[in-house]
Amino acid sequence: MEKYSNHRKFLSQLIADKFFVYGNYSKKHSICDGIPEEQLVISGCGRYDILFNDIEKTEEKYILLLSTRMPKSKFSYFLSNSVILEWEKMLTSVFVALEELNEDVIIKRHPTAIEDIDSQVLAKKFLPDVKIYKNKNTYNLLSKAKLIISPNSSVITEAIILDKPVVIPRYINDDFGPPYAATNSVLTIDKPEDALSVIKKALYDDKVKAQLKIGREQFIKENLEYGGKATEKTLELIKDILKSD
Amino acid sequence: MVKIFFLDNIPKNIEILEQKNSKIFPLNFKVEKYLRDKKIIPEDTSKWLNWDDFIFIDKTSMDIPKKWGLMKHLEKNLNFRGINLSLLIEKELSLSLLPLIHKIILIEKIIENTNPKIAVIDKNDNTYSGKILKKILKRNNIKIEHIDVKKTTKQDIYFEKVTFGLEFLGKTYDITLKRKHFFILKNIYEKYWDIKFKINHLKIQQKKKYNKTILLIDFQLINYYSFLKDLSNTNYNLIFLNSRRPIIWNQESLKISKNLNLIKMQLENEKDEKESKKKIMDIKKYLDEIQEKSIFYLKQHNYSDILKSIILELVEKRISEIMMIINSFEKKLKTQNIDAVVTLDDSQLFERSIILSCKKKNIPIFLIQNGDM
Repeated sequence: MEKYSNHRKFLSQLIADKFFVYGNYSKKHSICDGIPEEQLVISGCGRYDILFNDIEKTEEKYILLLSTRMPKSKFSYFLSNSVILEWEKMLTSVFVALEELNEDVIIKRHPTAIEDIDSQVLAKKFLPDVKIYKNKNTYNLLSKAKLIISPNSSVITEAIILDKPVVIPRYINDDFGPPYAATNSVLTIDKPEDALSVIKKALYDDKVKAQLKIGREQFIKENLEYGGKATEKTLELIKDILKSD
Repeated sequence: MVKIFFLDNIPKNIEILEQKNSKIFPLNFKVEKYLRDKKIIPEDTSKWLNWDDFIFIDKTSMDIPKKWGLMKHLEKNLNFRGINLSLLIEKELSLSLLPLIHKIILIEKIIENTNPKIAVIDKNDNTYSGKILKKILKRNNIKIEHIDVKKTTKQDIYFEKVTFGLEFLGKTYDITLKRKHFFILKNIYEKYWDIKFKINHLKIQQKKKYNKTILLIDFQLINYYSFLKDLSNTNYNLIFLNSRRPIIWNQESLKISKNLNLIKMQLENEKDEKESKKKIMDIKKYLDEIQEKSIFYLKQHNYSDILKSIILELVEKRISEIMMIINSFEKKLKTQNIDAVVTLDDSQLFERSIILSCKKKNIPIFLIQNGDM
């Protein structure tokens, strides 16, 4: 199957005059989506400055499992019943793996999205004592986690900035979003039967953990410009554009 | 003789599915899951839709919303205060079409692969899915038999329901409401926090006013605190205009607001139903007169009746809201000078209504990436 990363798209046309993007990766993809290069400005992500600068590193206590819905409002592939059934197998395998480990687990559900596979039902079956949150501050939950397990979501980028190891159970064998796997900044579960071994590697294998750390640095370098100073940069750029107008 | 069951809803009597030579095709995951739980295994269609089909579905669901409003000779019917109204519903239309076009292609593939003589469906299903199914079966001369279902689920136009968080006694509760009820509740909730904000601001010394003003659309104080705080320290007045979640909606955002030079813009909520009805008639006329039929053809088959109905339904549901936003905002623009707009989204109805009004006045618009690509 052709990779979904070749099929990224902007859902609708750009109406704004300038589009401030996180880094080169976003710029490259916006150009592929037909946005003229002169409308694109690399500014970094001001929202993440707080993660670079202010979030305290605290004792790493638990595995944080993020649950959300599949991106089926964007891509028809995820509307197929067979694809959702495969995802159910994948998610179940993650719960089975977590049941086998002697670790504390916290589940953070998406605040608004209705999940295709209900993580609460799986939790009840495999992890009856697990804490499940919906509206708790994600940054605080991330900062105290020893491992983050999440399908594709911007939370992965946030975890990478906080220098946390990440495991992605994948919908398909493709990065499908930012180049997390391509930069070796995360481990991926590509087959349900691999869930336990991948999670164990991310938790306990020092060599793998060191490689992931290097990968995370590479990801930030290549995809998030002006880390920690993006707000300053964005304001500078806005002022410059307004001056020149 | 092979009999195929197309199930978009759960049947009343599932024993009927167990007859010989039956092939069962659930058209959504909810039905698939229900049947599997009852040990009824549907046909596997996973190999029937290939990569090119998915690309076609995705592309078509984006192309129709972009193209339907571009008929130059009819453009005046879509025009409201110099804005092409088709641009304002582009995203909602695209999101609403994606599952329907997926369904069209899936049904076509099932028929191609099974060549049935009889199809069993819920004949009373008058949703867009039901209409699509009946249309395809009729075109293929397939005899239709009826099956009773427990309840027909009507597929809503996208964003017809809104989920949002409300803080009550220090806890956040998620509530899902129909769009029109959401706006009523949101206004009440916003008024409550406005009073708290005003009491709060009586104690705070207002910063001086600057010559230049930036309008910020739908920013959240909690997520963008550092950005907004630094922006607040520059020589710009900041005006916040929020559509979905109010700018101040809980204790945390109220606390943050003390540190910002924050001015809220409030749009009027008065809808002009007479003006809206007239515009709906204009748009209906536009749709009736579109000659370029290829826009509504999918794989050589004409779906213009169904696709035009979806567009018209979306227009009918949204037009008074759109006209209210544009009317009210343009009234504000007569007295409020704005030098730039900063937004986190330029694709949805509210943002586009504001942005396109500003563009007419050559006000620069800056979109900030808000989430991964």
